[in-house]
Amino acid sequence: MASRRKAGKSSRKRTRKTTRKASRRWRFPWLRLALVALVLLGAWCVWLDVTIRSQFEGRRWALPAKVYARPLELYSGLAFSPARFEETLRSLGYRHRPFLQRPGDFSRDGARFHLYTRAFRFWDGEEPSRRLQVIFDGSRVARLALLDDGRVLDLLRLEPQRIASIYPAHKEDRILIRLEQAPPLLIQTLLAVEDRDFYRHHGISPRSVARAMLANLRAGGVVQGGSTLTQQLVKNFFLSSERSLWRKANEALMSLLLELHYSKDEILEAYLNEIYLGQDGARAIHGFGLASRFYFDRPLAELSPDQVALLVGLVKGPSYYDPRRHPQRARRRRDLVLGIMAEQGLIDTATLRRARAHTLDTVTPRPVASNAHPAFLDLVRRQLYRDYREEDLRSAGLSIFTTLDPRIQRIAERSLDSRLASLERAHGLPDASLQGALVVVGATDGEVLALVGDRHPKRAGFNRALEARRPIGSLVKPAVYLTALERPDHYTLATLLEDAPLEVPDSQGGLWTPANYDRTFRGPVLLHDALVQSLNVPTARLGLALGVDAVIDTLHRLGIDRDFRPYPSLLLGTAELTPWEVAQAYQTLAAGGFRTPLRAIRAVSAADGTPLQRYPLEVRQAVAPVPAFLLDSALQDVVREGTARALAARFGAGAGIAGKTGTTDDLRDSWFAGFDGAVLTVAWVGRDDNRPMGLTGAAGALRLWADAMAAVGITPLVLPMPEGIEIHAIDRKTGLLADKGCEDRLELPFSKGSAPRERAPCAGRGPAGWLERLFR
Amino acid sequence: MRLESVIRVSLLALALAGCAAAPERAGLPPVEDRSLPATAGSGSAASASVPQEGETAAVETAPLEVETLPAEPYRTPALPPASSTPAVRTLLARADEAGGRGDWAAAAAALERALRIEPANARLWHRLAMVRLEQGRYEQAAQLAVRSNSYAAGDVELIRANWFLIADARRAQGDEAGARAAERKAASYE
Repeated sequence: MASRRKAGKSSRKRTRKTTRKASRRWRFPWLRLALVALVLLGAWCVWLDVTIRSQFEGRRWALPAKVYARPLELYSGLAFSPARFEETLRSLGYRHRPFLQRPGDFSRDGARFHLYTRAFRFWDGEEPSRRLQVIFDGSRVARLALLDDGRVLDLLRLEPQRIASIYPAHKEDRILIRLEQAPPLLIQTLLAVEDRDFYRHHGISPRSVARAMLANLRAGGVVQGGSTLTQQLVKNFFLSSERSLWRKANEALMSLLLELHYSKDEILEAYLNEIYLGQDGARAIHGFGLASRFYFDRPLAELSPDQVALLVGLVKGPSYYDPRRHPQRARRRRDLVLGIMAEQGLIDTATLRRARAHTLDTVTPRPVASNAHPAFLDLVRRQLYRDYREEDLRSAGLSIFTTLDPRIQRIAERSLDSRLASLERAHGLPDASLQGALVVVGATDGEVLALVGDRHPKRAGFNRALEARRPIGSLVKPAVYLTALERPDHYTLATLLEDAPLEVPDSQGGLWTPANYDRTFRGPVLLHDALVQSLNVPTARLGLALGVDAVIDTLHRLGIDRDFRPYPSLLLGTAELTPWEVAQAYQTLAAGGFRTPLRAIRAVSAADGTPLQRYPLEVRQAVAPVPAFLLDSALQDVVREGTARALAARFGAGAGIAGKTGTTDDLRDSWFAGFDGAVLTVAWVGRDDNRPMGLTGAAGALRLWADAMAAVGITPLVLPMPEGIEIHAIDRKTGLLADKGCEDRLELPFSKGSAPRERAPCAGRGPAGWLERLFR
Repeated sequence: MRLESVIRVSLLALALAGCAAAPERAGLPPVEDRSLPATAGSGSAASASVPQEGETAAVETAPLEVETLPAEPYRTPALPPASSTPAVRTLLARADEAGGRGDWAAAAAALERALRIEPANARLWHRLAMVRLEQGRYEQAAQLAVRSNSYAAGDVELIRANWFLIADARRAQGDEAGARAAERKAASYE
């Protein structure tokens, strides 16, 4: 360069300049390029940085809402069999073990159970984990006691069964765990297998890559991964099957960046919750917390070493090592991990041997679809959507405590499908032509125990229980008779009604001529009998005398929130209602006139357990106790001697079941609404295309009701008698007071002072009778 | 050249700084704290209904402002134990304890649990009515007292207590005439 400067002055100057320029250009082009590259790299870095941070931090671990069934509450004296208790424990994932070591263990010796319960935070308090003894006496709980000190326990509330989750739209699910909550063995194993230098490297670890290559070469297969946990975490954030160099470079850079921003513990915790570990249909299983549930149906803290090994082994390839689809591979991988655990001193040789000896039996079969009872969940959602946005439901990790009784729900689902099939066979109907619905609620508290909207309960389509509006037929009659019985000055159960041809002008200028089912007329019948035998004509007469508007008012008071056209035909059930609406109305009757809004949810709490919302028990007296009692007594007679007497035959008249059959024109709908001492159930059977199916209420829905309730177990019903009721013997033919001289007599309740005063002709006329009359 | 290199170095430094810059942040756990609005309409009367076909349900939200009741002492006599079932007694004790703390929601929850065990226990319904009264839910208090009476079957003391409760509820709602009618009814049970 110095030689160039020695040229002539002017040319030297020029040359100097150009030379300088030339030399600069020559000297620094690579530097300039490098600078541009660096700037680009810097910008790229910034972009990656923003991305990874937004993924890590801004990323919402959207938590699905957890939906729980009602918990089992055990107390001394409860009617509950040991078999049912074991079934319940198993459905909650309790395991039979000779000794109680961990929460979730139970042992059984005939009628005696030892149990280590899991803690659970309910919306109204915490149930601690306890070691207990439960002793049964036949089919009853005899005694509950704590094992530690023998103290008697009055009441035990087991954790509720989780029946569903309401997922975020992206169908991911988590059971989030804090780093402190993760079992140390899991963490140590994970590090030993996937990233030994985790706490030493800065995101990527060339040493790991080298060591892995060596180990894999030695083993002749892939036994160790060279990517760090950080890299795997990054990869999981952008789950892509693309394994190009470009992607790898990006991931490496992002790993470095991640390590710059976050501590090792934070990264590890995120990893534990993020790593992809399996697939459940459309639902992706992320994180060890959920994987533990998914594969072993137990919480992470309860895993044994062989189970920990299996999970850690899955990291490498959740599909490839899926223990359900590829059990041998999974086992080999698990055993390999166990070997590493032993090699690293995490477990001793005895444990290693024992663990390796375990088969994969502890892996549960694929869990029931995340939403096992779509019809009930549909109801829950509708009730929730009034108060919560869809977004919150799906992502805020709410706990929703419902009223569902899983046992009754299963019974209802089974009964519906099997009874419909047998009805089709018995009546020569085409297969799968019938459909049905069942609504089961607590008679006094209106809590929804079960809801079935389709004979194929897993189908999440048309929910007949909530949506199928069908004419209710004779189910409307109790409203007519109730209206009458609320006027004791004019109507009692002994009032004679006329069962004779009736013609009423209808709204179209024609005539409405209602007829009885058997097309005959009986002449005068007791009001009681007209209801019990579900006679159309006397009902129509009665309803017209009361006024259709009055009957509509009664329907509203019973809890049916719908407008009705006041046509006379309403009196015979042309009104169209859903089984749900019918259940609400009959619940009022079952509760002696006290309407309680049907509820599917008891409470909602936030992810941290804070109660957010309670749905309290509410009552409203819709009907006075006396008329309610009179009507309910008659409904008991519907079963004892009326259109539903098949039930009395099956369960015995002493059960005191009350109910009403419902049949519609041309036999398109078959209904039965009935209650016992605990539960009200509404059953509907029909065809979706609304064609006649040839089944009356008694032939169809009643059988369905009986099947379900037989499996549930009938609680005898004894109607509490209110003040102001008196009982009299009545002659069926005349509706007047009867005595032993009358053959066809029955005992009827009356509102005080409303009973007939006259004696029937058949009642005693002799001197004794005269004397009695004198002293009356 | 010096200027150029200064620029280059600063650009480089900026680029690297961009990569390394970390904002002020506390160590946030991955779980996002998405606490919902604590209670919808806290402080207002429980009103948000969860309507269904043919159903009205009230939703209880925050503990309500309890209206100060008239100064008269509450007239129900202390009633003897309401149940022979230990489980129910335990829950009743829990309800009493919660009531003592002023946690009426917890008291109601315990009573509802007890009612699931003994739905026909008139005394339990009466206790729940008392809780609703304390919560300022006067209409429900009266209704629950009526419900209690429907199971009372000759328990004159309880029936009277229920009518007094109804009187209090009506008075609190401003229905003085109704309150007196209820008191007369109570007196008729002497």
